[in-house]
Amino acid sequence: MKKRFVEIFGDMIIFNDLLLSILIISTTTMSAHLFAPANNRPLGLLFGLSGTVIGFIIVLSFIKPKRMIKMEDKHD
Amino acid sequence: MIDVTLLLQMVVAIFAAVLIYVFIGFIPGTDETSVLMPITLTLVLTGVQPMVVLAFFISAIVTLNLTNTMPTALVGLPGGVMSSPMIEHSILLKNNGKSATIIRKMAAASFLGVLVSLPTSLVLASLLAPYGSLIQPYASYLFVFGAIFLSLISKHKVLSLLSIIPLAILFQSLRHLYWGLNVVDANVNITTSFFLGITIGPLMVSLFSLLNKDTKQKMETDQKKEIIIPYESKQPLNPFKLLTKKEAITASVSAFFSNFLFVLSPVGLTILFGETVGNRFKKPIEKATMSITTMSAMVQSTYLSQVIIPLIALGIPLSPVAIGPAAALFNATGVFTIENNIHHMLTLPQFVLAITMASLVALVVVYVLIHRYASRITKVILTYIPHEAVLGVFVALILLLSYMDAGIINVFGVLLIGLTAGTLNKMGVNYGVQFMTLYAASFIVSTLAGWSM
Repeated sequence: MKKRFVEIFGDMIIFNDLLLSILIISTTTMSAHLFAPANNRPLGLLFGLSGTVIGFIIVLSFIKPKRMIKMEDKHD
Repeated sequence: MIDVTLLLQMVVAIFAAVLIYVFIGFIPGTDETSVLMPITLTLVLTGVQPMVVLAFFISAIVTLNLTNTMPTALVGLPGGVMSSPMIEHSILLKNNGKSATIIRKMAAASFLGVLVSLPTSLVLASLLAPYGSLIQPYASYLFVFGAIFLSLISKHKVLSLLSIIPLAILFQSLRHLYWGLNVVDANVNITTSFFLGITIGPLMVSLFSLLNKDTKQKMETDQKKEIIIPYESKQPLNPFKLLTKKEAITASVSAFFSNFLFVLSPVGLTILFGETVGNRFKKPIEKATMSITTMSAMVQSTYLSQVIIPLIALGIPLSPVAIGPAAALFNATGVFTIENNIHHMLTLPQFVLAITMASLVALVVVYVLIHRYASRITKVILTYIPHEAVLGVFVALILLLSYMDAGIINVFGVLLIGLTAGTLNKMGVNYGVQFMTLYAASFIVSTLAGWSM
């Protein structure tokens, strides 16, 4: 298997996925910000943050976490 | 007096904060400052009443500190910066099959941390308040002193001391560049985006080093991370029954004393108290349990006292939390300044009401929530939220705030700050020193200029 996972800030990523994620979320954030009325700081920030949320959701839809998750057997 | 609409707004703010930060808290690797500052700043800029902002912020930190410990205890990934000292202990306990009980103990200790710290810091703040106005004129000296002091108590003293002036020059040179080019008005002192540049610095350095193909190849592996999530156990909710007497007393006493040390780094204090307590025990499991419960209480008490005391008593951000995650309460372009912020706008009873209400409501709601659903929330978050998306959000937030502060040129200015501050950070200059330097920069540079003429 090709080596492709990189550990950064405590968790695994694939570098190209990361670049794509940064590109998408930055684009949605900045475009949403540019749609806000000019010279209105609060709205500008609010629009921008909404763009961030939209970008985040888009990224979730096609980039999958690089973790193998199991639930522990029930015991106590 | 307080009217019903204001009270209602505060309740809405408290629950909004709980909702947002329960979600964020469970996501591993979400740095406290980067997730608290921008959202609080948005609220401040929208012109929301100071009491509502304060209620939101307090609810946010209580929620975040409680939920951040969950991924740490359950799967060994730190929820945020404050839970990174717990990793070693939580992995040991997890390998011994104790995760299910330990998350309950941590939540209970966290609960105690809030209960102890809230009254202590409020009393301490009101005792210090009369001296606040005496201190304020010397704010710029205090920031310089703060930067030096934090350097001297850090691990790498000389390195930290030597980095203060070059960093100050970096910040001021960008400010003067923007003034000189008429990018911003001469009375605008850019702080917010510089500040986030410092926060995201280490991440920027890591990302840039991955752009070097040789470095990237060295860091690559074919292993995914295997993560096993334990189930919640059925145990009583009463925090006093979940902890042994020894654990409860140690956690409470540590939380109490941390209030008096509100100018020191919260992570540093958490490590110091947690490890000191743990080292008194020989058996590995007992040692880890004592450390991790004390640390859980310390995280809450350091955060609360470091916001409450500077905010009520001083009005200047003279603690690592006040100057970091809570920065928007003291300084927000166009709304709050060092001379006129939440400290100056609220009376003592208003402070007490907003802080007490927010911390207790958030505490009870989140405490019950994690007792019932911690494992299931962790599973959902880890299954659906890739690390890439979290890092993408950080980068986008910095981009947005840099652009809003001074346009495209500042996007690269902040990148320059991120790479410089991040490199220094990886070498051993901590955030506290860098944040203090940012606030002291204007004074340091004008003094140096005076000497150079």
